[in-house]
Amino acid sequence: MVLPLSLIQTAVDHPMLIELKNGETYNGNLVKCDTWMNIYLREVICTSKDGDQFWKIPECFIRGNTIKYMRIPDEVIDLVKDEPIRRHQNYRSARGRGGARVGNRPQHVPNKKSKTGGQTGGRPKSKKSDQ
Amino acid sequence: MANLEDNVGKITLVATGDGRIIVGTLKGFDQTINLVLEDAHERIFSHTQGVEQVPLGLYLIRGDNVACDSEQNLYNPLFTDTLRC
Repeated sequence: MVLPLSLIQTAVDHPMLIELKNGETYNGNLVKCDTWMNIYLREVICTSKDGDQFWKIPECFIRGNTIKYMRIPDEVIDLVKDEPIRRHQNYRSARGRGGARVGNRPQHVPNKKSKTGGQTGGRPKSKKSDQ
Repeated sequence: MANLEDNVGKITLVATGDGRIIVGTLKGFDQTINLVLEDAHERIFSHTQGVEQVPLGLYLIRGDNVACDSEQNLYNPLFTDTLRC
């Protein structure tokens, strides 16, 4: 299985097309990306939503949550390291009772400092063994 | 999440928030339902013409935009020319 962020990370130095939620498209070479999908592009051509205006931008930064989708060259999929899908199944079986949590989300940590300033306020139930 | 795991490697139909339908092989996903689709096509349905398929190649959809997705079993190219909807 190919994780989306791994795919983007592998696509560094490749050209790509990014469409934002506002409809603008950015065509450029990927320089950097991070865990929030924030993207740093070089030699960018920005096209407006209606396709009638164009800008050439030497460098640009795109905040990850504004991205709608990305089109990446096909050769990148062959370069990505495949993550074994079995990992998710292992987490499922390792979960304790009342398993509402899915995947490898960080476990809910009980309040270390409680608002009342008195007791720890920790849950009496035993912790789920997620990791 | 378990459902998406079962779909990895299979042809999946994704309906996006802006009303598009994208069909491709689901290669991977993450907790925010960002999807990686290989050999993706966009299916454009029309009242007047048959179904149009626009090839997209390797496609990464951000999870905010995914409305729903399902495994695509029937993939009959013959009826797409006559289908009107």
